[in-house]
Amino acid sequence: MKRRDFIKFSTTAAAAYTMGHSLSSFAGSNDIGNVVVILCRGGMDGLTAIQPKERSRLQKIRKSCYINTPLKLTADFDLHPKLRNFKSHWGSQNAAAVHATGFSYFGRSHFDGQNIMELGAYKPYTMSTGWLGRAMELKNLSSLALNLPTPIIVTSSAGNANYYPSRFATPPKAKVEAIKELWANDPVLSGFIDETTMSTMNPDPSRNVKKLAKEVARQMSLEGGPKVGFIEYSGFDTHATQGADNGHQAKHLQKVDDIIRAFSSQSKSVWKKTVIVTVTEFGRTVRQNGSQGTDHGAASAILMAGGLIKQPKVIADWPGLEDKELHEHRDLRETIDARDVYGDILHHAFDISKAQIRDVVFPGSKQKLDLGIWG
Amino acid sequence: MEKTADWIMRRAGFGFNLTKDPISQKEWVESTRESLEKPELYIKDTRFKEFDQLVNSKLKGEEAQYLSGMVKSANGSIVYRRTYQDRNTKLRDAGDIKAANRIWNTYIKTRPLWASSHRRFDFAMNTDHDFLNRIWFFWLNYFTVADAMVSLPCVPDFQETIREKMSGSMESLVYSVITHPAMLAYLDNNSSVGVNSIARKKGWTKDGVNENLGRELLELYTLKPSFGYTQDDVNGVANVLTGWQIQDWDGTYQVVFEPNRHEPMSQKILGESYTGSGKMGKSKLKRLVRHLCSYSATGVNVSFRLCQHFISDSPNPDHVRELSQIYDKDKGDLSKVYMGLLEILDRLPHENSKFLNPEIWTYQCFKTLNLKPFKTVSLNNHNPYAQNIDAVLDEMGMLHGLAAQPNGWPETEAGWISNEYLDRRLRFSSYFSGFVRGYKSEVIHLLNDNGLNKFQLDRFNLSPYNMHILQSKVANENIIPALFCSPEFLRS
Repeated sequence: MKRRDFIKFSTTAAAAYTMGHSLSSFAGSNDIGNVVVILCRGGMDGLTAIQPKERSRLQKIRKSCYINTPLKLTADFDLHPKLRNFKSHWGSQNAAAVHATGFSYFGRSHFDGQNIMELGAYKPYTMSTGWLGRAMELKNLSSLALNLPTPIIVTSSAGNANYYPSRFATPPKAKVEAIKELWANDPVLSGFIDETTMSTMNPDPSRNVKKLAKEVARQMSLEGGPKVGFIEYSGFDTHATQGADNGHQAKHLQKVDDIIRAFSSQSKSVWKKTVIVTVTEFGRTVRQNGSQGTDHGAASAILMAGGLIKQPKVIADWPGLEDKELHEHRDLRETIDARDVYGDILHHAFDISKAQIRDVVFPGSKQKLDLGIWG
Repeated sequence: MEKTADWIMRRAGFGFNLTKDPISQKEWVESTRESLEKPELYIKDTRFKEFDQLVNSKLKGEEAQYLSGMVKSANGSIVYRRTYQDRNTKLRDAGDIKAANRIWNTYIKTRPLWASSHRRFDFAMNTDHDFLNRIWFFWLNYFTVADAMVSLPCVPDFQETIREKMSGSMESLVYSVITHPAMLAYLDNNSSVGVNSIARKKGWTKDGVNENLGRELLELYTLKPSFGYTQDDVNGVANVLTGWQIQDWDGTYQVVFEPNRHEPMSQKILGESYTGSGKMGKSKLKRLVRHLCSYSATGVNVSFRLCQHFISDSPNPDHVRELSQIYDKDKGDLSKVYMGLLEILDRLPHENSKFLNPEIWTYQCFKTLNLKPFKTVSLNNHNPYAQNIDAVLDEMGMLHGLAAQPNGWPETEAGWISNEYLDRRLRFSSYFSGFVRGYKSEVIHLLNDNGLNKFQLDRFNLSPYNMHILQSKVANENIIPALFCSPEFLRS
């Protein structure tokens, strides 16, 4: 795969691909599924995405955030109306969700929470690699991120590459060679920069997540193409005027739905082997705050779509929304460790054993959860 | 031989000027000490006024009419003129929504950000107070405000406020920052109302408490989560912060404390009670900030961050302790802390070990070659605003007003070293070396004809091996990009 095949992407949206590390790993890669992670920074409101049917309670405690015209999912849960494409995949048995789930992090800090969601650790800053990166390393996969920094979630002890188009012209070869020579003895810089990264790209000013997702799908559909796609989208931190059917949180859920739609429309050949999954650092307070928004909370929801899923379900051990049922009387209580959810996805998509996931990908987690959606 | 100031000028400032002879480190430290002792000299350096006149003089036609720059509001704060918004309103009223949106987007997305980028650049190139100026940059990142749609119009004044307050006490800096309209808007505190307030009881508003600013006040600006404060403490802080409002109907972004919107119920925060009606709101907040800044944990937080910015990604605990002890002893007097930091920097060995972020590195490229800021790079012919330093910084991945989250840009090399970040340094330095040829600068002339002599190269603290490579293997026309991308220049 040539690097020039990759295009664009913005500072608020980033993408990473994983591809076969070597030809030998391609041989077995036909059996390997595809995982697309949508990293939702800021704290996605699980109760807005997947609204439990507790109408009177919710209308009382989150009056301006209550979804009035949801889409129907199950006897217990409704879906946000902006998640129309998710709903259509649900209709074809290719979507599922987990609720009241999180990273067992209750400190309510974005930065500690995001560190945990990317490392997969139980305490912030206690590991040096990301959980997705460790999983890829087990299968001898390397990653390529489509943004300026390398996302922590895909870092592992194996090398990671990233790509992002530049408006600056490509430097003449002699200049690059001179610099490479100066870097040769530097323990950090040597090894960075090769000619393939210096190809000239046409900037795409649109910076649109739909185009990004389509490109991820196109690349993943290629023979020997990447197995992991990574899309980052921030803005879920709706402390003020969160909105309900429409509004800020709805706008961001719309983007998640756009990503799912764009990917599925472009990924025909690999859709049946794919699972797209959301990751967020925490959910939001069950009660709305004084500015018609919500503050940092605990558990949230995980959305999943893709052909690997065969049974539409909302998996939840529902903790309830009454005062005494909430974490510290304010947040949705976590009843499912998100590590067990992502672990089961990695187990089915990449054929990584639960023991390996427990030891390497998510140390300290139980990995006893079977989502029961794989057919 | 006496140490030259070349190393410390790159570590603690914006670099040395290759067209001037080196001075001694002793001389540099001495003048920097004086600058720290008399911060008013730096504060009085209001070059932004000249800068703004210059910018305005370059604008033409309709642009000039609507991008008319910073003005002083009634209370003396600097804001952007309302004309752009007025134009927007007129177009909207006339039914031309498309044109209205276009002009609004141009205003909000380019002007304040563009102007503030240039002011930072101009200061970096021209101030006599390099160390204080670097400290200013440090605080601008420490107190990130980055919400383009809400807070940017008052960002220039926010930046000036930090510049004025950062050499006083931590508590006065924090108080000024958290009651500034840019911060109140960025962290959603401008509509935070106490649930037992008069405004709520009389039904004037249905708004209530918002904890966003209260949480970051504890988490980022003072104690850090490791201190172990609780959700009750966060709630208490959020309640003490109720009542602050932005009034911007005249376009001047005045901050008003509205006692009727303040929470009158007594709050318990970290064991202390904060009691009093709305009338006491301001003094309660002042007391709270004093309380938070009086903890050693706040001093340790500030000291650690300063050490991380100026000394090492993983600061030596002795250095952090040295500064935090000054913080404790001098009751958060920041100029004393900076003085302590200067003493540490003065005795550090001359090792280029701290990776420079893209912005400081870019400015150092300009400064080293003695290039003036206003002739900058045109990247994009379709957008006149892109012919400016902010377009370069955006391309480099670090346009200060666009940090994604309230914790700002990374202070460590892990956040700045990736294939693509490094690729940008190569591209920029190559582009730069071509573009600087247009300058009638002695140093460029020299470089193009002769490369650099050993005396000049010696100033860059290069390893013997890289010195050899640059002298023997690199063609003169490649010397600028090679030098600027050398491991020794990427670090300081």
